[in-house]
Amino acid sequence: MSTVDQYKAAFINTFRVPSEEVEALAYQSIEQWDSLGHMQLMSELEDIFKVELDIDDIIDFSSFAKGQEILGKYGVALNG
Amino acid sequence: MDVVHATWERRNLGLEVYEASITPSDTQETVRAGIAALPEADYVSIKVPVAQFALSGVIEQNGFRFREQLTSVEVTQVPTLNGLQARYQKAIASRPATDQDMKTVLEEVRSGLFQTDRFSLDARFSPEQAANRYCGWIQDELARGGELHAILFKDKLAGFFLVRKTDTDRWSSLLAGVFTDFQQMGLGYFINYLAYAYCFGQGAQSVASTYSSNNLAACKIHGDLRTRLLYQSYIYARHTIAKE
Repeated sequence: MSTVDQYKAAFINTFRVPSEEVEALAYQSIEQWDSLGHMQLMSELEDIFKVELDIDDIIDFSSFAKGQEILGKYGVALNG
Repeated sequence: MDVVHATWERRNLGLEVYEASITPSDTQETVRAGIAALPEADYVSIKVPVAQFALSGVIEQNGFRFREQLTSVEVTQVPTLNGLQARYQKAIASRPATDQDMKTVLEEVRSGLFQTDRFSLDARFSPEQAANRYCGWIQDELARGGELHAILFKDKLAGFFLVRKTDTDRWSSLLAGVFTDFQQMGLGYFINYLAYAYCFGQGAQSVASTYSSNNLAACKIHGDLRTRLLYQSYIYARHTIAKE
């Protein structure tokens, strides 16, 4: 599975959304992405990509797109 | 049917309010008679234990409408944090609220911090009335020995929790809130966590809490904690009961 597919899978597994919807997701754009869902997503991503996110990055992780940018700072290249 | 004159709501809402509760011995006949005997009031609520849902029909027939389901649970041990949560929690602290913290909490509440209770969701009540209920409740609980604690996130005042010791080794977690400017930072779980951790740190063997079905966040958080279900009830309410 490519890294971008793993990234998408984290959203799908955490929020139980169809794959075609993940790229448009943003914090609180769906009921599942609330404060509890946010921390579950962060845990899932840390497990998948073996990184430890800084608190400021956890706060800034406001959308699917923004998350790609943040993971890039940790050397995670999300390639298809 | 037990009926209580909620005199405190005259201060909070500026209205005459009665709170009725269905008891185990109630039947359709006693409920019908109880409703007929209600005093003149601006607002009346009836609490129906889920086991007595069969009585909801007669309540609805008398003009009462469903408002929410309340769930009461008990937390019996300090919730366990995973690695990420434990790291995140290091940036969060709590302290007994100072007078200034208390002032800020009340200001936040008055600015509309809580939106999921049946008064905030009822267009017949103003936002000011709904907020007044919380402010009055907080002050009443403090007068009863409750403790208000401020939550700090990265050293900034970010929210609060309100707890009260109810028995030798039992506490209640009554209310918690994340301030508006801190609401997209994943803090919801932690304010509840800190409230429970504080109570267990004070010797609690169990901590009870009640939340509304209209508050999805609270439902999820308590689903994620190790809780024991105590009881559930449905709340029906009706505006203006006038004597003919």
